[in-house]
Amino acid sequence: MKKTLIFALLAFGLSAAPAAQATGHNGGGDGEQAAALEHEIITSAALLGVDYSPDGKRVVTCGLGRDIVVWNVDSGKPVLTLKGHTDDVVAVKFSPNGRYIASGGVDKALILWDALTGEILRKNTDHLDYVRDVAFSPNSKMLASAGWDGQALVFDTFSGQRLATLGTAIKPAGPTAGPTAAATAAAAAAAAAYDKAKTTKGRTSNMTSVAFSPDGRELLTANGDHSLRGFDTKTWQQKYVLNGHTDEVWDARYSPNGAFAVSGAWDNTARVWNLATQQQVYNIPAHVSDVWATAFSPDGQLIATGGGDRKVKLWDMATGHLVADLSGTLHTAEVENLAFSPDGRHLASVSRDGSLKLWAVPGTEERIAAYTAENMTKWGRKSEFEKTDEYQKRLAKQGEREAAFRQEGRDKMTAAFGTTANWKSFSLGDYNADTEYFTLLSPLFVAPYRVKVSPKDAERFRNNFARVGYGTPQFELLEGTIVLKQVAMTEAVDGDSKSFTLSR
Amino acid sequence: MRVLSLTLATGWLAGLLAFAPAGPPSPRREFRPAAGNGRVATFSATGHLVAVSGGAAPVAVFETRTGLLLRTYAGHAQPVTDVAFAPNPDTVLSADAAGHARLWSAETLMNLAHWQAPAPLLAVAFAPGGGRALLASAGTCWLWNLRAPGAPVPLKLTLPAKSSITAIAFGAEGRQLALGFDTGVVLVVDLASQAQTSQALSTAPIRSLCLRADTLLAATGGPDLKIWPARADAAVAALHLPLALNAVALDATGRMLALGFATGETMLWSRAGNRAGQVFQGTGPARHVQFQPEGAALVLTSYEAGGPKTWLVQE
Repeated sequence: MKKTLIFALLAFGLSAAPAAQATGHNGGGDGEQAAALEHEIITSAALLGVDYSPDGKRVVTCGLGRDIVVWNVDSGKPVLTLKGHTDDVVAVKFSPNGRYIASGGVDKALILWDALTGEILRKNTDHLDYVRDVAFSPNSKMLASAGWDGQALVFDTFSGQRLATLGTAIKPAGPTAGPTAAATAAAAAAAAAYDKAKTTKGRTSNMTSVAFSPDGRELLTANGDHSLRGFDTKTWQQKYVLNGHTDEVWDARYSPNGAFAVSGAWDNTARVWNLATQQQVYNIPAHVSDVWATAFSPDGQLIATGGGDRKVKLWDMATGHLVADLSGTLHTAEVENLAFSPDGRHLASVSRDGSLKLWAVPGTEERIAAYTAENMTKWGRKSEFEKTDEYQKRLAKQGEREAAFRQEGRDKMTAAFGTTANWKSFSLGDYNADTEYFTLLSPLFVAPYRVKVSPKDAERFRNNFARVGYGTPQFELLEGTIVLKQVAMTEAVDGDSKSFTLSR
Repeated sequence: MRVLSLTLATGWLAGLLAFAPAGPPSPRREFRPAAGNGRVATFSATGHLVAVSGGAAPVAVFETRTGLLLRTYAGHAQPVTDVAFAPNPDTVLSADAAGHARLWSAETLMNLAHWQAPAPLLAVAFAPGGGRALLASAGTCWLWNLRAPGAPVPLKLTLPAKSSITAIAFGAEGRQLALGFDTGVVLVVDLASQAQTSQALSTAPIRSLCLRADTLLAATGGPDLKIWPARADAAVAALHLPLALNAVALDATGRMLALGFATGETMLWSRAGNRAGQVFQGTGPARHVQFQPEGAALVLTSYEAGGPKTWLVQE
């Protein structure tokens, strides 16, 4: 009797295990929330900023604790504490070469730190108000900061020389801005002041975010006047303005291939922009409260948003649909900032609840599952009120329908990969004279690629590799990840162009 | 064709959603104090900060725009009854039920001045310009010159018999001071000449006062706003309202009123157009309303409980 009971328990245990696994794949279920959280670090003060080191081994956080802390991701232990700010620290970033850390805060200071020793290399107090965001150029040679005084300042990282001042500085009302004078002003003057105040209502002059494009040629700023502005980093002239948000924009980031930007604003939406056409691609109703943070995954396929509703959500760049609500109820205060790990496997979020949480990022299979589940729910709802036999007929088609949605999702994601991912980031490896193949390596794809080049062209191919042109790529879904199948490469030298085929 | 009509239909739907009137406005920010009821709240002089207290709680200083808690001042042992910001820099005067008045810096939390009143303090206010502050207990008012050393000086006033102070307000120029009493009487004092004028506006306690351009606006807990030109010979007018009025505030130009009601609503009222504007639904009786200085982009309403909220003023 006892034996059968134990056997029954065992059987139950065995059957329950795959069931629990399955819930992990259906996009946004409770089971997934628990599965998504991988690490967490709880501090005593609200956290406002977070960034990954370029090697993905360390995470830096800042906040109301004033000290900037560098954490070891694996051990969850602090490895370095940067002391130097005299007030809350709002933004912190690693330089792409891993040598520096830049931070900005309420003390109006922009500090450049040595990322290894924690020494202060430079402290800059050019901003007249809070420093709200900092960004390094991709080659780490420029450092930009956005301030609440309405300016973005760009510096040469090494020398500290100021290269550009974007926007106009608005002095915060200081002791000299006489309220006494205002009080004694005549009624007529007050009326004029009112009209002026109306146009500047909401103090919309602030700048909240800066980001360099992946090629370093452009700087994107987010502004309190509801706009995003792109600047040329050679001439520092404004290139374009993106309008559409209906409230203050709080964060803006480039996609890894530089073709898109995502912005989050206090109008509760995250918007995706095509920078070539300067048109809005998606208007995502991301949160039920302000959107505070946005981020693109390193492969460009996912957009992460964090908001005042205490949630961290992931959106599909191919469809604009929700992939997963990662945080569920695990953050207990506003989510302030987000950063993907360089390998794209983890997403770090920091919140006013004082916690740093690292989430597992879903892969392509999960994205397809979320797409299928969402469409199946819609499809199921459509037939709810039909006659019973009709309904039964439709239900019979459920499996068929599900497979169709799955295929549709797969196709959409594979089709969008070429325009959303930075798949051209190949570096040239060795040339094998026997097989006549060059090996090409990509940070995006695990397996190496190869291209056949005859020995007489090999030298020329290597010398001109930086200027190579690509044809229309073909992608395929292989073991749950989208990979490049093949693409034509053309190399133009002295008016003569040669074509090669890149394949696995 | 079918695809086309589908996209047309969804486009139309999206358009409809975009233009459909949104639901009742939600607060721009909620300031949730870690302790206490949050019934005391005020903007800093520039409107950058909001100080919140009330009940057995320290004074919490929030950033207006983001709602982030920046500082917590724990200098009071008794419940804080009122808080006021000096015009500049961000200096806070707070008063408690034990009669302690404390002046401190919101940035550093350093104590700058302290005075012990002989009675529980009920209200504090800075005179425009910031050099002087008024402290009020139930039966006495003190004027504290913060630019000179020395204790606050009691004001020589002839207060109405058997009544205690419930509300105070400075005129825009700091020349006049208005006091409201629990008997429904209001008193306007010219601080230079010491001339006094009083008027019985109601039989209920005065809850909130606003003095601008020689006109006194008062909320008495009834369904109307009392308007008195602050002259002994002038009659009291009333602006009739649908709900019981607890709090009143004027923006810098005197054209827009913010009204806080006992049922939780905060209503904007255009004096020029003589009509109601936006209505913001809060929870619990409104206790205090205030326009954000410098631009009046926000209205701050504090409630009897649940924490104060800011509301975005639309054009």
